[in-house]
Amino acid sequence: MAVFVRSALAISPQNTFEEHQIPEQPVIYTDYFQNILPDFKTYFNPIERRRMSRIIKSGAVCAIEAIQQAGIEKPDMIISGTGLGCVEDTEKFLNEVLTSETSMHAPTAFVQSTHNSIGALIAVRYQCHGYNVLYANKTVSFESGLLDALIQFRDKKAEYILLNGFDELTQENYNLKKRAGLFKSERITNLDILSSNSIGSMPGEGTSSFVLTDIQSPDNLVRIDAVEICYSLPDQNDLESWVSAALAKEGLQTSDIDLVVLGNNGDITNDTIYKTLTNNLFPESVHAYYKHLCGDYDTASAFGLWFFAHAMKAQILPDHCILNKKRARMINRVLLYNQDHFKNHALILLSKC
Amino acid sequence: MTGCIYITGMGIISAIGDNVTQNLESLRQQKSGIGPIKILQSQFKNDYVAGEVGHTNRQLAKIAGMSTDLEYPRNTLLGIIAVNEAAEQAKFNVSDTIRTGLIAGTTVGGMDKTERFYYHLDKNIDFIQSHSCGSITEQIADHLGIRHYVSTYNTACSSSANAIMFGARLIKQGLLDRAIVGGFDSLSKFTLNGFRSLFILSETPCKPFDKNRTGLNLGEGAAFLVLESEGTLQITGNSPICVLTGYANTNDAFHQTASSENGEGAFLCMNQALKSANLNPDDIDYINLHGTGTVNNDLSEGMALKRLFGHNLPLFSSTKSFTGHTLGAAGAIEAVFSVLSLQNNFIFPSPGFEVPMDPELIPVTRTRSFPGIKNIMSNSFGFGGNETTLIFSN
Repeated sequence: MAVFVRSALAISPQNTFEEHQIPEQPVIYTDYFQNILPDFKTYFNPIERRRMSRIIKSGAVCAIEAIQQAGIEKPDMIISGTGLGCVEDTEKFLNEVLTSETSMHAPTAFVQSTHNSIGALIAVRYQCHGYNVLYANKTVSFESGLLDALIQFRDKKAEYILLNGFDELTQENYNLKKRAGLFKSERITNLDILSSNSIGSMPGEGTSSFVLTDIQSPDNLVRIDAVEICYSLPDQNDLESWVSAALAKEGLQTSDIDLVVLGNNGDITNDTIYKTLTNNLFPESVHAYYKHLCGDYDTASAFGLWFFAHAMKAQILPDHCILNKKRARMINRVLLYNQDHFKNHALILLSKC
Repeated sequence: MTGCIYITGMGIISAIGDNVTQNLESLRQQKSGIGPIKILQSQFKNDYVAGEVGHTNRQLAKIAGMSTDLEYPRNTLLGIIAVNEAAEQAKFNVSDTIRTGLIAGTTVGGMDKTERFYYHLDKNIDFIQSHSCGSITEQIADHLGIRHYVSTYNTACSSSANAIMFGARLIKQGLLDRAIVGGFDSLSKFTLNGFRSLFILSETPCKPFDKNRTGLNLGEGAAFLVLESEGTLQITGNSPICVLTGYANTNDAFHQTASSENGEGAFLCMNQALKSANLNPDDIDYINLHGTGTVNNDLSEGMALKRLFGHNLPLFSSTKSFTGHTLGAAGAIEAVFSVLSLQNNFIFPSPGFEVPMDPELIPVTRTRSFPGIKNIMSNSFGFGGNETTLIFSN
């Protein structure tokens, strides 16, 4: 059984949505990233636009375009992943409750704060009565959804699955996490995150949508061979055995991987894990990263999949993504690996199709 | 693909007890846990009743065997109390040969701690690390020493039912040997005010399927079940309590908060769950309803029941009259109640039911014995039309 990415859409801090191709020249950000938003007028009427928060509009538009570009009427299933859900709505309702609990509050923010409101909105819009779930599990939220989708195809329960990953960064959330020491304390721009040599990351945001299918087509972007998730591993040796075992399951060796895509986020405590892994297991492969384009957030790996699905299809790899000085003649096999301080390890294995 | 999914352990804490035994006793004696709000510091604590777990966080930490000096989110404490009990019954120990996952459902995550410190950052800013739904599941996983797989669902009020379903699917696929599945949701000002703003909170004990129902009562709690494959049973030596035979997830695709009049999502869900269990409607002995006591849910669910079962409705009731609506934990709590029914040959009622909203839809109102009970269906429906049905069998 093979599963393919039929369409992949992303609203991100880069011009990914309007131009619909991987950015050659990254947009530059200082301290944090912000999504470049499309014109929502073509999708929603003024009342809807006013009521819906930024992430709901972005998430819905990504999903709508992914369905459209996949050339299908509607998906059989909708699966989403998010670390924090709809933060702006949550903050809005929380602040109202904490500042004046006894006032009468409009329910809109509360309703929209429920994590699966985007999946529900798409279900209503397209009348999708099928399986519809949302994973909220930190940095493996997206991969958990992808794993679920692969199992659904294996069980022959679906032909087309809409898979979404979304997280938003609000000013309030940024301020809180900055104060808690989660982000870099020094000023930083996105193209310098790897040379910062300090702890903390540079936060970002994004919404990505994919239509996955088990039906062959020249329109498919890439094939997804496997996804593997492991919550925690004892040490670096176990990580290497786990990665090798995941490849072995697919009949592959580490030398079969042309491109290893890593979740480097500029936090030195985090990035050394990637360096040791690639030095030991993938000395001949090209090593690349993407969080200098979208920032660090729970479902950033969805942007990673968007980026490298298109990169593989077009066989283009911009220099700004490459971590070692290697180039590949052909990118046939890609392994994406992301983790968070040696927890929530996740692998996605892609093949050219 | 492997065969049956066996349940080998369970744990629960709710408004009607701190463990399985206490919950069973309350159900048998028809002792509802819905009453005045004592712990949650809301301005509306005197306006509404709720199914509150009657312990402070400090007391919960003691029961959980955790440090009473640390500020845990209430969900972490509820979750650990329930998971400890389930793990003990299923003789859980950390093992590299039995690949074990922890899969949970919740809607508020660490919200109660966030509420306490959001405007008092100087006192404790750690809440930012325990706010997300997934962070609570990770704290529970770390407590147990789970390392293979940890995941969290948030599909509103069907969250933990989905966690149970996914655990079963992972075992069937051979990706896990054992799954600890369930959920937790503590009361919070956020949800109390949220449901208040929707005008679906009742000031008096809820009356599911009653003509004079006036809305739902919120509740809180946590419950976990241990699922094992046949091969795992041979290693653990556990004897199964019962079997999870069917499950389905569908969407009503109607509205963010309201259910469709014809109960389409619920109908599809129950129907697909029956198919997955290879059962016919008349094989079902009892249904643990979603039955929140809101005007809309009960009409919609009732319509779906009539469409699926026709005039041969099995016995049914909503145990939310005991616990309140525990949101993300409801699917797991009601799964434990369903297993208790099968184990003890009892059906638990909807206490307080008086006047039928529909003469064909009259729930069980007294605890009654049901020797030889075989198949129980449990419904969990949520905002966004997220519907899940589970079927448990002896």
